[in-house]
Amino acid sequence: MTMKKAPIIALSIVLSATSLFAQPVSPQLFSIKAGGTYFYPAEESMKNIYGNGSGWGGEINIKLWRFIDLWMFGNSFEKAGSLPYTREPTKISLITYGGGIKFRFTAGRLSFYLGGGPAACYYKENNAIGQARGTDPGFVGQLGLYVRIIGGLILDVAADYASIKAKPKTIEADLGGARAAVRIGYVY
Amino acid sequence: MKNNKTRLRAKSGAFLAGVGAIACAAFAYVLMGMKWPVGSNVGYSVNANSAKVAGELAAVQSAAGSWSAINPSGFRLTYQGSTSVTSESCNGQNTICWENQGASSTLATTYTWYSGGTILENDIVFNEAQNWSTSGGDYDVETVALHEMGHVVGLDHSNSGIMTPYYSGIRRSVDSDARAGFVAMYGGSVGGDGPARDLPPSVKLTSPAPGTAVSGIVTVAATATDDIGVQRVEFFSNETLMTRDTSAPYQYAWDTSTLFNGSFTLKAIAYDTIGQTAQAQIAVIVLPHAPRNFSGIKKNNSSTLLEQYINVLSWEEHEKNKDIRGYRLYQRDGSDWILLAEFDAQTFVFLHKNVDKRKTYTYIVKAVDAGDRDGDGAGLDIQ
Amino acid sequence: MRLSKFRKILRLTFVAALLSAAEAVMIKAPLSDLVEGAEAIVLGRVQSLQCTWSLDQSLIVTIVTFKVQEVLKGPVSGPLIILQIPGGLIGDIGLKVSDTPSFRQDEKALIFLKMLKDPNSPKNSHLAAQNSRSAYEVFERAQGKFAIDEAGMAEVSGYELPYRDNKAEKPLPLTELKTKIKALLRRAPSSRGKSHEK
Repeated sequence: MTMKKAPIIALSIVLSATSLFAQPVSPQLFSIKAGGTYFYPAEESMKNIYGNGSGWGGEINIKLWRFIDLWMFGNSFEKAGSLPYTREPTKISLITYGGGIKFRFTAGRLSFYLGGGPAACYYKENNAIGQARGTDPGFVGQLGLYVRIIGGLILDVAADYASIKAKPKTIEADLGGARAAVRIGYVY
Repeated sequence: MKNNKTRLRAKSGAFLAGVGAIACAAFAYVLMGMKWPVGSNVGYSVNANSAKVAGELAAVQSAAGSWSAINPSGFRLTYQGSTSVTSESCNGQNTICWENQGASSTLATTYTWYSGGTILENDIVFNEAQNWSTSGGDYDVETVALHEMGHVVGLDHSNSGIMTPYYSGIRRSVDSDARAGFVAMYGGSVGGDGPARDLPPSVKLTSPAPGTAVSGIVTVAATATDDIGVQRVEFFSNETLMTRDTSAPYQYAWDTSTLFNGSFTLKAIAYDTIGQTAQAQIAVIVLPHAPRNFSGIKKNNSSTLLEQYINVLSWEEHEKNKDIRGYRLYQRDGSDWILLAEFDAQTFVFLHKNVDKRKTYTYIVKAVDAGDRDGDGAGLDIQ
Repeated sequence: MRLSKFRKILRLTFVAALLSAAEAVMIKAPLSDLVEGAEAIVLGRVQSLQCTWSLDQSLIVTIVTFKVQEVLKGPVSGPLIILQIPGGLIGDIGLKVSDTPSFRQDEKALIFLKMLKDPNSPKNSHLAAQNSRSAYEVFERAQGKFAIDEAGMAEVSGYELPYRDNKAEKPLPLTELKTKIKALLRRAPSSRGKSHEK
């Protein structure tokens, strides 16, 4: 489970450099966002059995210092599928949560951000074979942007990638993957 | 008496053929003047075609047995089987048959072909127009056969015993007079009335045991004994002749793999040297045959987080199985076989779930008949 | 059954058997049955004998040419008739058929007759076929022929041997036999014959 650190570090440096030329705006001490997500599982078997799907998610950001925020998030994903040979029904539920540090750069109404940190996934899979349940850690990286629409109301789009390896029984699976989000929020 | 002597001298004039009947001084028997060579084993065939009586074959054989028992090494009659021939011509086959010769006083006719003093062939024709009996009534088949066979051995009519020319009731043994005539031609000992008969043989099926269930190649064996000798043993399966065995041990390799499963009657018929028979029979069950095309494959049925492998097994019904109740699937467990599942007769697939991905599994599937008996198994290994 | 002295003497003598000594068993036919069942009853002499194969070569038969001297029941075809008797000897091969009467050259006999059935049958001889209208067989075989010896005694001669415990087999004068036959014929509505005596 290796993060692709180099591109993220590079982007951080670029954004940091541009922040030197950013215009100061509202303090943006706190923001909250919630909306729909679309999940692309990383695990091959999960792709085959369940495929991609939509979910829900939200996050809270708290300004720490200048352009550094503390970031916490939570996403949920639930989907039904069929076992590969017997075609019996199966269902998986994922609640991914975590947080970390986010770098945010605001230019006028637009704010860009990039962050990363630890994550965890609570999972439950249920089918004729049995039930698997548990929580396992991983990490997540995110980048996105939001635009201030009116007052503190914002429209946010983001993409994140998580990698969370779970092995409740005999199979180890990466319950992470890529996720795209479109959310509404408010910045204070 | 004079007249009688004159009459006799007149009768000794020119005759049609140079064959003379010879009367013996001490007995009343009369020899025809022709006979079979000493030591002859004369075979005969019977066309038991009388529509008026049953059991005529056995009666004829019994009569032949009576003559044959006197001195079998000197002369005997041996039954060679049935025939459809009804001809009295000199065709090399000694035949006994029934033929309608019309209402008359003739019960039976013997045709004796000869050359010089040697009999070449005898054919006996029973008159089907008469009323025949084998159960103690008139006219008794065995009695008439015994008389006619007296001519076959070379005896002519006499004034007493079995060789009197007119039927006078049931008489099923060779009297001492006729016996003496036989002995004069073929040797042996002159005894009292009714010489000891060549007894019929006895037979017993020794394998398989009655009522057993069998499959594959089955050894069918019989023991047969006779006071003179066993000529052959015939083996039958459901009245179909399987084989003839002419020497002990009497046995036969019965291949059940080409038969439908179910009940079978096995029979053995022993024949002695003069054609007398004995039979024994048992019932056995042929088990169902192994199902065809038993095959399998291991399939991965795991979900994202739960592992499952399945051995998928399938088979087909055997074309020679009938009245199958279902199938049983067994899995090897060490040196034992454990019943894994049981199915009805229409099920030919089984998913053995939660098998170990790395382990080899051994299976046997068997058809089960209406009597709840497992048949032969088809085996399979899945790795 | 007790034997008379006569019969005991007979047992000590050789009797030459004729070609077709009886080799069978029959039901005893009383004289009345013979008289009623025969198509003709004749008295005469054997003129000649000839053995021949049947048309299909399966049997040997003896053809007896019989000169009829008196017909007690008839009619018959003429003064000369032929009798076909199963059995005979040709070269080295002979056939003896049970219950068939035997005949000798010049023998005098009283015979009960039936027309030969289907003279053209392959089981019959060519002589029978050629003389179908005068071809006969002996009715009831050996029981249907009485040999007449020089002393005028008649006896059933189909069986050559002294078995005669049965009184019916006892030889009797020809005249007595003829009287019995005629008496039986009078009882039954059957035709009488003419004498052809020479």
